[in-house]
Amino acid sequence: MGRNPSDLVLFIGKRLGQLALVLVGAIVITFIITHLSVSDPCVVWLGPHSDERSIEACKSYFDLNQPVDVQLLHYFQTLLTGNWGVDSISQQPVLTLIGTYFPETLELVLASLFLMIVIGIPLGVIAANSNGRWGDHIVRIFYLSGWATPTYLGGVILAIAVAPALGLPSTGDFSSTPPFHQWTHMSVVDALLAGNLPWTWDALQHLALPAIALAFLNMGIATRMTRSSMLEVLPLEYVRTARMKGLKEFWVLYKHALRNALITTVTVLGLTAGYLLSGTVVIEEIFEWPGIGYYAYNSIINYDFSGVVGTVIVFSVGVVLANLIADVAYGILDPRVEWR
Amino acid sequence: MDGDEQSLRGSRRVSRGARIRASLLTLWRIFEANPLTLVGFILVVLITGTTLVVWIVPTVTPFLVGHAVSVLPYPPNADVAGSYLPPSAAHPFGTDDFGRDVFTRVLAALPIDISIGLSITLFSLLLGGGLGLVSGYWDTPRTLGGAVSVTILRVTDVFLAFPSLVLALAIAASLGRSFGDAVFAIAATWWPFYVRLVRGEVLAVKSAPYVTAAKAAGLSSGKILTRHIVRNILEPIVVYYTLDVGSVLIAFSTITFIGLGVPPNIPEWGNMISDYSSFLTSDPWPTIFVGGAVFITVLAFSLLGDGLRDVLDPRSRRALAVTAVSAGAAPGSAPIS
Repeated sequence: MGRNPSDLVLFIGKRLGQLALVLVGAIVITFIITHLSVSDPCVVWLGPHSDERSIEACKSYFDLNQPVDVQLLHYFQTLLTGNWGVDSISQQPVLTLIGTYFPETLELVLASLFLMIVIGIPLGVIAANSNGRWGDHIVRIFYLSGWATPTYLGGVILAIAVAPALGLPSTGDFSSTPPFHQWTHMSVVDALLAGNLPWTWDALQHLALPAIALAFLNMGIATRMTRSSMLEVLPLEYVRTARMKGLKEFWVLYKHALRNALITTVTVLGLTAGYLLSGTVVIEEIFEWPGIGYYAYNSIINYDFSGVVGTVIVFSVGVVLANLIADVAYGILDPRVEWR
Repeated sequence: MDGDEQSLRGSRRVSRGARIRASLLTLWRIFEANPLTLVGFILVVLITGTTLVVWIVPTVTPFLVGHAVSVLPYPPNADVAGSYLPPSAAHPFGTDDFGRDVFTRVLAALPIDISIGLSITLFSLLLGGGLGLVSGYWDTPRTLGGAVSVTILRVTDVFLAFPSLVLALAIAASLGRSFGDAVFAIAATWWPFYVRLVRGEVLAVKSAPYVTAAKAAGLSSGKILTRHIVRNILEPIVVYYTLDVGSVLIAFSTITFIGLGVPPNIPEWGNMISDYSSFLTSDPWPTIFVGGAVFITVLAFSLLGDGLRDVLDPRSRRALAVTAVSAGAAPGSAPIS
């Protein structure tokens, strides 16, 4: 074991192998739970007054006549050919829907991650530098407030009370259908690609509140980690040396100390992917943001099994990949780490 | 924690009183190091105390006085005054759209929400912690224990890759959508965190000299686990447990906010906020007070856990002490070790 590029490839390969195992487990669990517990989803979809014939037709169309294990096997077969089933409401292929919804969620998550880094990390530095004094206490109350506010409460307050007060939109990704093709399904990127600045501004305004809601509620993790790793770095010799050289306090803190303290923060940020993705289910539902969380929520509420399993696959891949990226980044930032 | 206190703990001849005094002293140091921890502690005691009173009095009084006595000021589902009343002396949190007293409903929800927070974490701690102990202690490759340990870890990985809320929602939505299903859904997704946590702690202390010494002395694995390993990993687990009570409470109220888990007429914080937020702009009081109740409760447990972590976690404890000394400790902030 060492730090050759070949070790890195081996490490990534091994982790992707584990991903396959995790995915199979996740699909089996979700599939069996959803299919075993609801006795007849066709009755739910078609309404209580539907006739026998259409219920039978619905059952055979959605492959619900067979026992669960046969259905599961069939599902795995079609999954590999790129057919993830059909959405029971919109009658569109699940994979197509995920393809349009996922980039929207990625945009939202990246925007909140950006806010978490730009605001959360300096707050951690401030807290560590005024350890045990008022600055520390104020920052602590701030990030614990984010932690203690349920996502739905923060989202509802921002969407219903703050949005009208600031004149910001609280629904969707654009004010209306934009007059250009949506190549990436990331609203800001699409508007920029079309070279349309008013629409870019419109997309940014729509993105602002959901991204702030998601970021504020998860910011504590970045702040907390930066604070505690800064506390470990600050008393070290090299920081004192930098101070004694007469460097400005700002450069001592943000260039010398933070560089080493960031290593743990980066890893932990990767681990927050799960929280952020969970948060999107509630935040996207409240802000009607057309992303994967919104789709997951609606699939769950409407007993749309293909949609539920499909979104669970996407969420699981997202979490595992984010952890993998965090581990690789950790190794790159810290030369002492070996790929294993 | 000083050296003398360590020896107090180790020695069996020390009287019970001295040991209690030593632990009270530790508690006092924790609070002195950070006043916010004391605030959290007082709030947690107040909240759990109120919960116990609200829950126990109506259950016990039928046997004592023949009929149930409620400590709630009004019946939680009755129209006691007009709708949308602002806070007043008679109705400190105002009334809601059906004229129900919001203060009463916040209190009435306490037993459900607090007991869920405490019990699901306890279940996860016992199940996940037990699996974590096993997979951490018997993890030699190519033995039966090693195989069991790998199996436990792989299953845990599957559950950890789910965003727990999504799985919990899927379970809660596809099962009967009842209270028990929501509880099962959270419990099913919550225990894996404890496997990782406890396993990590066990691996860290397993090779410590005192464990090797206990093995050399011929102690059985069971005794080594309970007497030497579990006792030494308790502190980080207590911290995590304290922080986690709030997280479970939030997860449960998220499920009820979405409309699963609790019937609409039963007062519960999540479904109350879901109802009240629809008239947030015209009458914000009910949302503010119920939201405030969730916020203060979770904050109380977080403040306590966060403060405990700074003092109990040896790494951050050392860092705190060193910076306090090197930066010239501010007056009032006592050195911790």
